[in-house]
Amino acid sequence: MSDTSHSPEHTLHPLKKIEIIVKGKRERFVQELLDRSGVSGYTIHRNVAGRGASGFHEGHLLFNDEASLVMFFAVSDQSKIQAIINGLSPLFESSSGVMFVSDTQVVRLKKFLGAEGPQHGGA
Amino acid sequence: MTLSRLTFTQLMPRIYTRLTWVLCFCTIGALVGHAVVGIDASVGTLLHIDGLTLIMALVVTFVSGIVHSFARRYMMGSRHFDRFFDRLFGLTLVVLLLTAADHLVLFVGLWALMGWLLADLIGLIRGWPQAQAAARRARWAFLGGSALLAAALAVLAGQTGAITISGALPRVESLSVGALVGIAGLLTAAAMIQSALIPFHGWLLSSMTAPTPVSAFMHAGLVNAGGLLLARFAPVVAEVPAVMLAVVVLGAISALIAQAWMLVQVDVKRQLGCSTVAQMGFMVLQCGLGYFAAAIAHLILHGFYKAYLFLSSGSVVVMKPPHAETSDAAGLPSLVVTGITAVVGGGVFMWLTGKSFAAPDGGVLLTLVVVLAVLHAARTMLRTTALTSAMRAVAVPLVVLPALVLYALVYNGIAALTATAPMAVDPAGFSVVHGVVGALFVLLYLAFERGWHRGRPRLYTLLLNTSQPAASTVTTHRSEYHAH
Amino acid sequence: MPTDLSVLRARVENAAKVLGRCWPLQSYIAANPLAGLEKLPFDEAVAQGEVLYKGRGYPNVAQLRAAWETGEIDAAHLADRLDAHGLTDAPAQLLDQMETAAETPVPNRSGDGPLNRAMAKWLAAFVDQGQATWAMPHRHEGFYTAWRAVARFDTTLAHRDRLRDLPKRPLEALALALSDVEAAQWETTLRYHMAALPGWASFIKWRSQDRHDAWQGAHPITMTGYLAARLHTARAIGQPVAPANLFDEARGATRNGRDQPPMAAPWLEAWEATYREQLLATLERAAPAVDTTGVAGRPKAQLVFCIDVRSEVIRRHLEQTGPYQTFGYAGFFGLPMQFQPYGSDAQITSCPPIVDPKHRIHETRSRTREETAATHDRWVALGQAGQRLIKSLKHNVAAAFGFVEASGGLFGMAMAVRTLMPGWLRTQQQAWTQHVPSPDTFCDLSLDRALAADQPEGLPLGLSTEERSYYAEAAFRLMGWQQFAPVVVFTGHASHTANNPYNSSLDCGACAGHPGGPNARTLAAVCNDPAVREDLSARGIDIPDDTVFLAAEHTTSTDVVQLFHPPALTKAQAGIVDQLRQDLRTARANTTAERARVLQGSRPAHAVADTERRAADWAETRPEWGLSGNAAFIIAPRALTAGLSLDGRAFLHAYNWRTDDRGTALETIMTGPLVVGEWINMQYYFSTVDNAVYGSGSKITQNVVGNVGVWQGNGGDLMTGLPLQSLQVDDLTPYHHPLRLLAVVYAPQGRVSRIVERNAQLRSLFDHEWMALTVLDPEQGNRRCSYQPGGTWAIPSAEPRGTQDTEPTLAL
Repeated sequence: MSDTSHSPEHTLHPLKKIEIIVKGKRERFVQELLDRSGVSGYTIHRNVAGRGASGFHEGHLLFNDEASLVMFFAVSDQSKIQAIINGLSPLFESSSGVMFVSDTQVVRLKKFLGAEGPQHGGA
Repeated sequence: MTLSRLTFTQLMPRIYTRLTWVLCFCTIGALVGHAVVGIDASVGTLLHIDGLTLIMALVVTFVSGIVHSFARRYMMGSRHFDRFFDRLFGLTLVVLLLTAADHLVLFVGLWALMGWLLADLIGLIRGWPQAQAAARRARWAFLGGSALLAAALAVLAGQTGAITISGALPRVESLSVGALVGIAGLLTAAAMIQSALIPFHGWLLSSMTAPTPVSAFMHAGLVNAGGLLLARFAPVVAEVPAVMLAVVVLGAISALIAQAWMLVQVDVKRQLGCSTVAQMGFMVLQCGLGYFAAAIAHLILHGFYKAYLFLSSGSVVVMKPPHAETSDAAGLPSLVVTGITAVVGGGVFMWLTGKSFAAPDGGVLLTLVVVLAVLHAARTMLRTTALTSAMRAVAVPLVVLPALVLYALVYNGIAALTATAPMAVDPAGFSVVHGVVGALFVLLYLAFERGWHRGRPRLYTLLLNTSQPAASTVTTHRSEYHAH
Repeated sequence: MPTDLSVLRARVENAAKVLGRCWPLQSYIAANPLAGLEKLPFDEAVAQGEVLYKGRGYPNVAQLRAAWETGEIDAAHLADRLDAHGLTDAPAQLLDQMETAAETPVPNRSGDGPLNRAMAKWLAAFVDQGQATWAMPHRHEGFYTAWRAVARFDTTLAHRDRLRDLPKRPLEALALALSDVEAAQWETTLRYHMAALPGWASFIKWRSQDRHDAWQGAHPITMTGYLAARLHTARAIGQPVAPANLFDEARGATRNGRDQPPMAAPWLEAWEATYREQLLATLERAAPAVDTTGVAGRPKAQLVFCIDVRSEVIRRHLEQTGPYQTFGYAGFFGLPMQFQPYGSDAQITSCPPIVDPKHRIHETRSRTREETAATHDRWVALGQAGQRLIKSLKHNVAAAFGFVEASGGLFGMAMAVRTLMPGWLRTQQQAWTQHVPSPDTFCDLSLDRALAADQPEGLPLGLSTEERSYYAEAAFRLMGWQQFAPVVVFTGHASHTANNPYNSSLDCGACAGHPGGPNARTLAAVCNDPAVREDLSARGIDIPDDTVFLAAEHTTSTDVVQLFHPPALTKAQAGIVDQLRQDLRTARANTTAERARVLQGSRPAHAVADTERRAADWAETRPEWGLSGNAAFIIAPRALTAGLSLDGRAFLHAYNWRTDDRGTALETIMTGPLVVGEWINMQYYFSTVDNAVYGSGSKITQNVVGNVGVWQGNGGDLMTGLPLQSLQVDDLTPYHHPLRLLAVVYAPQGRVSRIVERNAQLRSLFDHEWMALTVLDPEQGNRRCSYQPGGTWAIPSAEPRGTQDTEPTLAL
């Protein structure tokens, strides 16, 4: 918040926001997908509760970390968000979960455009 | 909750077990008697009981007794419980008779029967196709071995006119070199098949479908028959020096390659299998040096060692964190210390086993192996930083000396008991071949200690591929597995 | 990431869903081999298992026939179930028909042999945890890279020239291998290849998902890497990547045209109904006498045992010896922790597989007991040096020959002692153990919160006071604790057996297949902390000053309950502890005598000596029955089950409906321990109904591979599940009855209903009949309500009935 002091009005830049909700055991898959997609960052909410197509999902369970839901947020440009959608769509053919994509606006564009392009690979 | 529906009489297994132990104690008695009186006994032309017979009988009945007692609990509940004990006890009797067999036809017959029974035990689990494939493979190998043996003994009988071993052996000196080489070649090949030497190791490395107690008896008792064969017919094999050199080379090949195989194995039973091939190779090498008593001592001690490791093969599971593999370059002082320890160890060994310091023969190779073992033990101990340096300093002699004494007792005992047997031939003189083999042992030791093998994927792959079991004996689909 | 690659990544993830997970032998967690299919109804999932793995999903005819003939399947229940399935033939005839049908062979997946062999060879080499002296080259770079480095030299591959110039990254390599396959067929193709070696694939699935495994950290393997290597090996062998008869298309053929539901289903249901009816009738009779108000007299001591079915037997016998109260609680005592034992650098995850560890507890030497520690260290160092020497000599290329000669005699003697005198050996071992002090006598647990300086990325060390109070409160709330005795003992459990690769399957399942002692010690230390007691008091849990918490470990193979080194005790407490020790010995004698009735060759009169022998005997393949027999999970106050003999077949979790108005405690129990109970039950079930495909076969031909698992004989697929000897009295007779778990909850039905409603995982397990649920409702006169798939409840029309009645159901 420190670099905003001088300009009275900030320019807003249009970007895309994706929200993803999956079961706890898919957290790793989604996290790796986001890591590889080139987005500059994302937010994770664990132990999310709510009601969906397959009924109510309880949030925090003391002795079961697998059954809970996890929510991801990421903001980036169209192409990177599209890559995430491509990598998730097949998953939702057979796993429960949802994703929402919406238009959003940010002030500091640089923060949201990852320096490098998309990556893939791994061990 | 129901108890067993299989009606185990337990009666025959119990009787077999008791009988085996009775046989073991009788053998001890006979061995003591033989040591005191020193006279062999014969039953017509069929059997001839000498020191070698009794030593081998003692080992066979002891290991078999252990396996019997072990299996009465371990195999409990097996559908093939009774059949297993019938075969095991039968096999024990066959091997006992084999150690005493004098008549050439009887010897071949027992040899073939031993192979047939062993193959049957490898395939004890009837409903498991891979076990049956392993049994078939072993059966063909043993059939081949029996045929080679039959051919060898037929030529021997034809050339000497004798129908017993004790009758034929005194006459081998009169045979032509060609006949001798032929007989010795056939005998060596038969022994190599039985002892699973390279290139005849396939049946043994494919035999892990056998229940654990069968493996224990096989690796501790039955592969030894190859050594028995060479020792029994020592005068034939030892008559031509070139044959002996060939035996040394064949043994050394198995010893070194199979020990290298062992390094890359990841399952406990095949690891033990590779070790057996290597140890049998070393035993055959000892035969080739003319140290038949040393070979017999080796196969007995190896038998105990291997039977123990097979029976305890379920104990290997421990939690280990991953460590980077290191090969250390030892500093000069520690090299000097360990080097001196090793040489002293070798000297003690030569002295205890009565080897001549003045006129070295092929026995130098045996001393060399002891030197390497002591060297390695000393190096390992010195690297054990958990112990205080004082403890480390005394640990080496404290461990090595009693072990050498124990070995010398066994070796000298066997040598004394077989002093009058035909296998008591003079060791071959030291030759270039021996030198090359010895150098190979040292080179390989240094190579692996210095980590020369690391980063050599081609060699690794070669070792792993050449030590695989036969394709038809691997259970590639779990639905094909059957427990009984 | 290019679209096709990201899609491929998701396809791999999707295809892998059909696989279960298999843990290594050191922490052999009980899991459902069909866990990946649990979102399907039970019968559909086992039908899929038949297609994918050629596995049988129902008890075989011989097992059903035996149960029928011994009356374990009740005639009336069977008639009812057969009727429901529309079968009209007589039971005997039906058994004969099943026998005939079973003889039709299931066609095998042919042609995979060479590919499976090649993959099993490299996988075993890669995952090896220290068995080989010379490990697979390049393994630190991951499976695919290591495979790529050696496969070039694999002369058994006829077309290995095709492996030249493979992409460096596994995902790209996999895409290349699939380039001739239509994208629509990717998932099917990948699933086909995963199901080819289900044992190895489920091991990879576990390892690639475990965040804490040190071996995965050092030598990573991923499903993508495995598949890339496998598909390229197929090409190098000269085999099509996508076989013409992918099983999805071939389903009709492989099921032998048997599209009607399996004939064994009604039999299984009747078998279950027979057991459940007996159990529920017994519980219903006991229910009216249950007092949950907590006004009974103060017991001398309270012992908390694991919910494990084996605890039921010893709890019953202990309670008979004196004024003791016992509780059942998940054996990790609610602590999601990793434990590092004294003198070890291994981090042992000591909590259930569905819980992520959140704390690290170390065992460190106490300053006040340095002397004892030094004695311990000396002996341990000597032992380790000896072992290291033996291993080093055994595996050396040149030294092994001399070593064999030098040591053979000793091995011969050891072999004789272990085989002929196992009982004597046990006494010697115990004398030795007393001579060498155990770590709990000179170590403290590192409870204090500290930053993990050595492993900055690891879990935080110790527990803050807040966290301590939280876990202590959770324990007492979940168990419905009402008053504290002067002595409270948290009793974990472990098994001691010899020469048994499956020892960890007998340890505490809630501690991920490890001994429960460390968790018990941690919770006892937490509860003795004055700050914690102050906190708890503020939250309405008053622990009297004269109450002390101790830890103990129950050795399930011998039923010895050993107290860990206690803190300072008052005279009164010390008196109680002395008496308790004595009573534990009595309980032990009676427990082993009861167990002797079902251990072949054992007699009640010599039961203690016999269990000692079994624990130490290297020739023993059935040291104890473990959790065999498990069939029910009872969530209720002990008052409901006290005095009843449940034959060691029931998990018992303490719960008091009166102290849990909002149902949070019950919800935790049902979503946590009950789910783990279902995992265990399903492992025992499937290992019994198909020991080859879902179990690990007979111990007598097992061969431990890579220190992580077993394969049978010469190698091939990794065997998962339990060995035959853990489940069967002999090759033909099961000891374990393959029944699905029945959860019995003593609580208001509405409360249970709401919990099931809002937990999708639970609901799915009940709706799809992976387990069943019955409630005894104390607010409705202990009325029995059974959950029906779909969410309705059935209430029996009449008063408690005999087993002759059929089950009329009444949907609400």
